[in-house]
Amino acid sequence: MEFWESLIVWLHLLLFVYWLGGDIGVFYTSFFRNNPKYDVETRTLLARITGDIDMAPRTTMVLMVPTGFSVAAIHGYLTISSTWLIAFWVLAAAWLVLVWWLHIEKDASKKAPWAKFDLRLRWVLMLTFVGISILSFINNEPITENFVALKLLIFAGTIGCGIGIRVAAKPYIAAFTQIKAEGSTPEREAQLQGSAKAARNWVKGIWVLVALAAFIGTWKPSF
Amino acid sequence: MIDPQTLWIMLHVVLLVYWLGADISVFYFSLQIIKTENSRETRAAIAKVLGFVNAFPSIASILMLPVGLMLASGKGLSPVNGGWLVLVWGLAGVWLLISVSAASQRGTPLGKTYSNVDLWVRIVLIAVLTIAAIASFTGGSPFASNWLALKVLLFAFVLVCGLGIRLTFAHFGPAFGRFMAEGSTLETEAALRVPVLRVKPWVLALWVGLIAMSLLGIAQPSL
Repeated sequence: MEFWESLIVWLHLLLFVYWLGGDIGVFYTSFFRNNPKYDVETRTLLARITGDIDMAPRTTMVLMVPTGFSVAAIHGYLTISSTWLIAFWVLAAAWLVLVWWLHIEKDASKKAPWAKFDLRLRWVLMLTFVGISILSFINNEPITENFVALKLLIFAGTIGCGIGIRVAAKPYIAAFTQIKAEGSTPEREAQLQGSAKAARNWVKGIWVLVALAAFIGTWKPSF
Repeated sequence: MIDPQTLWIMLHVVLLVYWLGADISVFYFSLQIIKTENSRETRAAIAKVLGFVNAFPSIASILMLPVGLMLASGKGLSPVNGGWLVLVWGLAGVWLLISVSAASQRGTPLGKTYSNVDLWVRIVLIAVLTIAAIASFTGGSPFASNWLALKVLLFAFVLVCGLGIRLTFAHFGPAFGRFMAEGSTLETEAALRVPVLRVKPWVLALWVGLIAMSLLGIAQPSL
């Protein structure tokens, strides 16, 4: 492969590595965080640590957008101009700044409108990517290969699962906040467990989709 | 139909996911476990997570070599073919069993024996791989392609880093046991900190080795 081609494919691969690989730590720590046998202080600390490690999958997902389109472009699977590619990189950089700011900033009231914006952005991106994918299946444009269009559709699915996690985790966050403020009760723990279980299903969905996308990228089937 | 080579590439990449990708959690947890602001209970929970997540890189690193040789054979770049590959898989299976047993029986005399055997397997492999790589560079055999020979050499380097990690981190277990028994004192905290700080350069070197190997595997440059 040419130098630039190798470099961008390599970045794309490393993002996959840190997305799926980074998630193991997040997933396993969450069981300790959710365990009422541990005291609230421990669970709060574990929640912070889990949140930190979760930045690996969160960061990689954002960067997957521009690297994915760049890999497609460099292989000649895209009919859009390079201006669009630059736009994807700029957008991803801005989105990444937002995602990190939401992680670092502790003031919840300051964060609330931006968290909402981030969620809306995910909806817009998901629908846009579904649209581009379906359009490409029909017209062979802007993506000329169906397996690449399928990868984009699968990626839209991972954004959807991410939205699913946020929705599923709402009762969790409410219960955890109450436990931190007023202590553990069986009802609060039950709400927390139920919500965590629902969120885990979305997480597993992401794993399956990300692995599937990687497999299709390796396989490159023509259909 | 899916080319078997595609499946091996996918497996090769998934192993990198669970090696390099999982390692970032291991690294971050090890930094958290020495933080004095984390309570003893929190650190006990982190130790459990650490033990679990660390199993992924251990297993993935052992499987990487036979899978890599399958790929090289499929590409016609390796003299290890047919029955020799069966032998490689058999040996890798035994090594995996020894390594897993060393971890699961840690602290027992049998565990110590397994651990010693595992250590010698690694030392022999480092020697064999280094010789094979140098012979390939100078004599064009056993690996005809220099990029592959370089990957083999880097794999030996990564195994050396692994030994560095093992030796510097050996003091951590006893130090952690003392910390759990005696609590946070200047001595117990210092004893915990030293192995974690000493292991850092080895871990970073290992990552650089793996990342360089992944770039070589993608670019496959003629060197």
